[in-house]
Amino acid sequence: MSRDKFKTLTEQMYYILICMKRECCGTDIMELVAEMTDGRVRIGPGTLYNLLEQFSEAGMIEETKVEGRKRSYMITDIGEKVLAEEYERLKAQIKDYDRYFERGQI
Amino acid sequence: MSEYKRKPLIFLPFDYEYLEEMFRDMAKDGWILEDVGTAFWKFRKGNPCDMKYSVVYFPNASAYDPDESDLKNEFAQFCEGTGWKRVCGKGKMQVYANDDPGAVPIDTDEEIKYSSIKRSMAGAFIAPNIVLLLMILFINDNVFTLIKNPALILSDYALIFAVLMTTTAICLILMDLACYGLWVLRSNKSVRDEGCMKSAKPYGKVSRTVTIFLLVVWPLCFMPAILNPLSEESLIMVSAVIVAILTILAVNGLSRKMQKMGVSRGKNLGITVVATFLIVIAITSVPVILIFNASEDEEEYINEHKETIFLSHDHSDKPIKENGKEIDVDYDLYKFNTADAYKGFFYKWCLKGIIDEGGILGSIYGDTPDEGFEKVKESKLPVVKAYKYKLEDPGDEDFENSEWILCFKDRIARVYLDDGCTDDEMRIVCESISMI
Repeated sequence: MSRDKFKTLTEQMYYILICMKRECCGTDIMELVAEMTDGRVRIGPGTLYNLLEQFSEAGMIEETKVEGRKRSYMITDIGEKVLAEEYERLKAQIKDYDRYFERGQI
Repeated sequence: MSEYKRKPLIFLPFDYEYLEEMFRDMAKDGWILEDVGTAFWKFRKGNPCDMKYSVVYFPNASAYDPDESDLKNEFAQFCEGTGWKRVCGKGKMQVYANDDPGAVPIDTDEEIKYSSIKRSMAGAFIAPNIVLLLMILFINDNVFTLIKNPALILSDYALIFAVLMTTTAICLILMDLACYGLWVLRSNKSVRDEGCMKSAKPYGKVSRTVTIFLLVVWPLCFMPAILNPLSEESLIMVSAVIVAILTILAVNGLSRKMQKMGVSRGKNLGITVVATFLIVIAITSVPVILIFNASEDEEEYINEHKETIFLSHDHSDKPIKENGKEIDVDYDLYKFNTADAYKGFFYKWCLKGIIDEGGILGSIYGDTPDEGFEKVKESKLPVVKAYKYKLEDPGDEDFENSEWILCFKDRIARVYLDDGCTDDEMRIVCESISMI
């Protein structure tokens, strides 16, 4: 998976990477994201499985522990950089929105 | 009432919506999906319920993975918390079920699912279909023969239907590949613009309709081969095809059993490949041996077919006299008891593997087909087909070979002329032989 793929993140990608600031497995991520967003964002196991595979290939996360069928992951420096860039992009969007509407140029 | 119900596996593998809806409708009718076999989905009788199904694609999975593979186990762990349970799977495609109507779907990002489908289809749909297509074209060259020499194909009922079957099979494969191509083209745009795939249901419907139609028509194609008394080889080939289908199903069943027993991907694949190879050798060689044995001895063949095809086999070296003219001629003459029987006779030797049309008859006499015969324009002589032996003497420019094969509606003659002869003389020979 090329790094370009993650130049911008989808909502689901964004929340998965946030969750992985601390070590967690697939089930933890799904629960955490639902909790973090009050159920607004829900990640299906198929999508999560694929994204973890892609993040792992892109070096954005790394496997930290394997317990039976359960694998745990954590975000890497590359992943943090991508997440930070996305945060800045979202912040810029909000800033643009605020500036535009404050001026009343609808 | 039976406890189980089966539905044939007729679907386009990327048409997951059709499968999910079909499983759900069956569950509403009280038939719960339990397993998938070589050729059928298996449903068990249960209480009618509103069960949600999801078809998941794993590009890294293989049709030879054990049911309890690491990949399946790992994914099952992901699904545990959301209530999805694995029901069954076929190759890269796995079916999950959930009885909670409000459950989070397994795939919540269509772009990712689309990417998984495309990666899975490359190995599980496009490659096998192209291999199958090439195999059909390589093993059965009737389609090429139809293009090069339609008369030869159209001269035999069994061949016509064999070509019909081959051609429709090729069309079906090409149609399925075209459906996939169109779906990908439309979905690429749709995923880019709207973030969702285009439905594959219309393509799936077309493919299913055509496949079901062909499954009804194909057995009818066998009938002429079975009923045609001139083509005993066709009967052998038909039997071989039926045995091949049954054996392939058996090998698939064996592979499926190994999956359930937890045999590793490598072992399962190895055993299946070896078994398939042996079966292919057996299935292709047995009919060939039977046909070759049946054709080995000319006299034996003639004796065997005296009742059905051959009326007589004569040899003569009496000169032909016409209008006071005498033409020295020596010929072997095969007469058939049915008009057009020579066409079956042609087919007989085609099956023996001698495709060169000129060599077909040469093989009866044990000549090497490589030397061949040159076809003579029919309009020149009063025969259905005529061939002249292509033999030149480099040391003698005037050398004229006078060996001919003449095909009439009800007889074939191999004629040797002591001296070369003119077109008029040859016409006289043809007319005389046609009246013997």
